[in-house]
Amino acid sequence: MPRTRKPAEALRRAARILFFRTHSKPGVKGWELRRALGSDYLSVIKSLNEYLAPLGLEVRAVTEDGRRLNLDEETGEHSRAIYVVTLKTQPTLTELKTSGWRVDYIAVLASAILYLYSNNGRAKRSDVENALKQKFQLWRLRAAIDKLVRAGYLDERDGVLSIGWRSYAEIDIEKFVMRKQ
Amino acid sequence: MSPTSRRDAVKKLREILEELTAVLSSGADPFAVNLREILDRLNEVLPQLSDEELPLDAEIIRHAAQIVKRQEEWVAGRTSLLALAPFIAILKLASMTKDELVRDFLGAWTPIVSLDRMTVGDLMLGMEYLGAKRLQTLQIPELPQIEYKPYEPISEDLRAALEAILVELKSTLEEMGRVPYDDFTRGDALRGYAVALALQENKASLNIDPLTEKIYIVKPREGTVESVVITFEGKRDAKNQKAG
Repeated sequence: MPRTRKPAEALRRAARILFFRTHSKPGVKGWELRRALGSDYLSVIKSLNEYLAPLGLEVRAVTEDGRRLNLDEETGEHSRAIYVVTLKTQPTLTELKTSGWRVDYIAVLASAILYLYSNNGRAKRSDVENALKQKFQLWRLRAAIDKLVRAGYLDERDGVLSIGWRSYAEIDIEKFVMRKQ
Repeated sequence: MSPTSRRDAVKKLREILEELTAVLSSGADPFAVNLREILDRLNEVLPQLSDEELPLDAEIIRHAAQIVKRQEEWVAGRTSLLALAPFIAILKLASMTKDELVRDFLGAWTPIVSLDRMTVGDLMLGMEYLGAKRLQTLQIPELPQIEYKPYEPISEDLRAALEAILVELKSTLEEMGRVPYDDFTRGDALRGYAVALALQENKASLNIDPLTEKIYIVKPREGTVESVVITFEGKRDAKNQKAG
């Protein structure tokens, strides 16, 4: 187990706050962590990361527009950022099936991200549906998009879909696009 | 100059050289090296070096120049790749199947881990709901009597409609071998009911694709058909309890 100079109580509190979901969307804001853990919350998070690393997990700070922040250098953005615990390595297909997500919905997410990426990150929802309806039944596609919007993977405003903050937080989009099978 | 400080300076030089060599030989991201910091460290060490150690210093400069060259190549490569990326994305979307897309996607996905729990808010909401329900129950002195009617078909043509769907199902299965459940039922309750009847009468069977979790209606399986008994447990009334 890694050594840390942070008090165990602070680490326990940080783990509870980060792991347990209290809002419909996952993640905790930086200012919420500051209020619960004190002004040096970033060093508590870094210490927690040392514990989580052997378990294949890590805490990430992501801005609303999806940029990942470096935990070593505190900036003004850190208190507005969303902190989430993610897997450090990619899940297998078997693990995906036990994650609570339908394989079909993940296929919709993958396809939507490719389409949106090729359109500079945003497109009309009707265009996305038209492009993907060859691969998916329309009613299932619509249900999947609604669910992905609710979960934060996609963002929908005035009939326009864009890649959501959660996709940026969880997916290495460039790697996915460039990846050869 | 003391021999100790010279020895330290040489040690620092070797460390820098090893760091640069490691990046060059591994082919890692050339921007991972902070060249400005390395040059500052060299600047500090330089006055403590004798002529003998200068080749080491020159070697570091040569390596640093190679890293700058790598950075230039890396930027040029990334720029051209990024320009092509939207085309690659659309090509990938068009050419890959759903399964291939999912497998590829998994290689770049590190999902958020979280645990659902009851919050104080959820509990309060539950209490409110229960409170409202109890009040409603108390306000109604007598529960309305439900009149039970014998089963009657909702339409005179129900049997004919079911028969027509069953014939369609049979011919579809003979023609295609299998048909996705959603495609056949099209969200229509009557078609769903007809499929249920066909399954019950062993005129068709269901098959679930383990990868896509898609449900297919297939031809009836050969062999012994086994029925499963499902028991329902309920409270017996007082009279039955006495008798029992």
